[in-house]
Amino acid sequence: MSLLDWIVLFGTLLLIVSYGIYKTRGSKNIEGYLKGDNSLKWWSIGLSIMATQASAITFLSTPGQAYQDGMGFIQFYFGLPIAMIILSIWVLPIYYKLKVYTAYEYLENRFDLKTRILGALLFLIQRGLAAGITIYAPSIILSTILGWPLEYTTLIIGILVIVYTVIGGTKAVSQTQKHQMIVMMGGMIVAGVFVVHLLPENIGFGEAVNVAGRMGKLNLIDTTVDPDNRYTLWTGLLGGLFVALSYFGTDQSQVARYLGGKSLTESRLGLMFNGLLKIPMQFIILFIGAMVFVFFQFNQPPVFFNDAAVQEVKSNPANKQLYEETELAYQQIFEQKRDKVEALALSNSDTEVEALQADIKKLENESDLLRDKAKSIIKSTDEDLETNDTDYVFISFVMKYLPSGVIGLLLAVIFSAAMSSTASELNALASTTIVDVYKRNLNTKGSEKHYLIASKMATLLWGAIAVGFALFAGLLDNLIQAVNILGSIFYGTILGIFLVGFFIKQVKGQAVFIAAVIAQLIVLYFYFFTEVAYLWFNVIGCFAVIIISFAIQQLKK
Amino acid sequence: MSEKEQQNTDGRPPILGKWSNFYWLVFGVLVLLIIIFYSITNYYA
Repeated sequence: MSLLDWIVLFGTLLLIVSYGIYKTRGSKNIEGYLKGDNSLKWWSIGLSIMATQASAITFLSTPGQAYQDGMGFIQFYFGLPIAMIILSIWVLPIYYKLKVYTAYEYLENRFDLKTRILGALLFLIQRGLAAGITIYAPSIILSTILGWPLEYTTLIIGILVIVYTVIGGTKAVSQTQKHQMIVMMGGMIVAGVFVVHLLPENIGFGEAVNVAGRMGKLNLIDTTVDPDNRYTLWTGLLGGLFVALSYFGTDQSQVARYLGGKSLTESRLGLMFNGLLKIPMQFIILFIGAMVFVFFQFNQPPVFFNDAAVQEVKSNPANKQLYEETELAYQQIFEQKRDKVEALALSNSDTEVEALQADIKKLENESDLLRDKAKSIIKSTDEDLETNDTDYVFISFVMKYLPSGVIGLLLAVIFSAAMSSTASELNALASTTIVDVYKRNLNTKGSEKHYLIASKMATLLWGAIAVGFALFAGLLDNLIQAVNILGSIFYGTILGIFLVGFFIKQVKGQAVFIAAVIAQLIVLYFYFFTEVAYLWFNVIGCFAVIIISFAIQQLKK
Repeated sequence: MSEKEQQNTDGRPPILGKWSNFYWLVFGVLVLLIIIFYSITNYYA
């Protein structure tokens, strides 16, 4: 990295953080600290919601996903606009009417205290662990790419986030997220322009789109009904709606974003902003991934994108020779394929296109076999080395092909994304700890100043837990998957409690509490004693709460 | 009406006048995007 990259990277990050702290310093009470004095306008809310959801993995993984499998992942977001409408009509007015600080306060109002505490605890366990992963996941990739120790990347992200989140609270989170979001989208668009600009002279934007389309990367919609296919129009509309309702309606890290609105109208407009712009934003990120794919049809890609793993293979003399032979064979196939892809880009004849597609497909299959061989060599070198390189595709392209200055900007995009989502998580964890646990149960008669200091301490504590967890996360196997599973175990139950609260008026507190406990046990049974895929735990937990609570209420009559 | 009361009272959205119009806009844009994406997929299928 050049000096210019360092200046752009740290200049961008420090400027955003310093301005955020300067603009939001000096909250005098808990309302100012946790709800931002209800001063946020709709565009701040909208950008803040989008920045919270867009973690570093979004920018590292999503382009790689388009590179490998095409743009079908876009369908996952189709339920989101509908969820925004549902929340705006039914959920937001309830939260505003009750003047809640956290989503779980609603549960006490609608049911009872124990249901509120149950909801808050389920959130704290799940989100507390996830905050560590939000820092760990990009840290491990950035440390591999930059060659820095993992501790450095973890501490840069962690300390910067903790400083401004502790000092400025909700207002600082939203204030910084506005600028982080501008950097994120601006940086990605710059990367998109460069990737097209770096294509051969005879391949313009139109030809690049043709290559992506004709090689199956613009497969945006899949209308088949196939349970094995994770991303189809139907899973996107139904499953995506389910996930978005749960995430935006009951997860405090999102609820806090729109509860800080100046009025119900501003908050509703913020949700509509997200509903209108989220899919185009994801489309842009995926499309850049598809363009990176086109770029690597004309420029030799590595057999495997995680260079650190490759270097480890090459430190083993026997595997080094085997790996280099694979690289050579891969290069030869690439050269044969490149001429055919160029012809495919420029051809206007359907017959010729079909013939070229068949030839390219054959060569791609051979390339895939060589990639599989490379992965098996990596595994044979060290069983613990990760053989999925999707997350490394985009960042490898950035580091190797983009000019000085732009590399710094793109790294700022990834750090900003990691910081924006972590800040929302820490802020939400502190709000829930103080409002739902400490202030409601442990110390009910404290002064405003006392609760303000307690909120800052809670933010600091959760920040330290998240950084600590991220620092030691590498010691555990399959940690990211473990945390995803943990999230799915609790998410369904939480959503079920809220849905009963919003839509089944006759069910009371005792019934929903018992149902939630039983539902949680059912989910745990599925986890420990069956082979059911963990994403289904969300559905099982949610419907179990709804059905059992309704049944208990009927029996009590 | 106090500032607090104003916060909780729903106002009309800008430009479109009614919230239902806003919801139709968001839903309409979703449908339009799906149609565009479907057309792109079909064109290259």
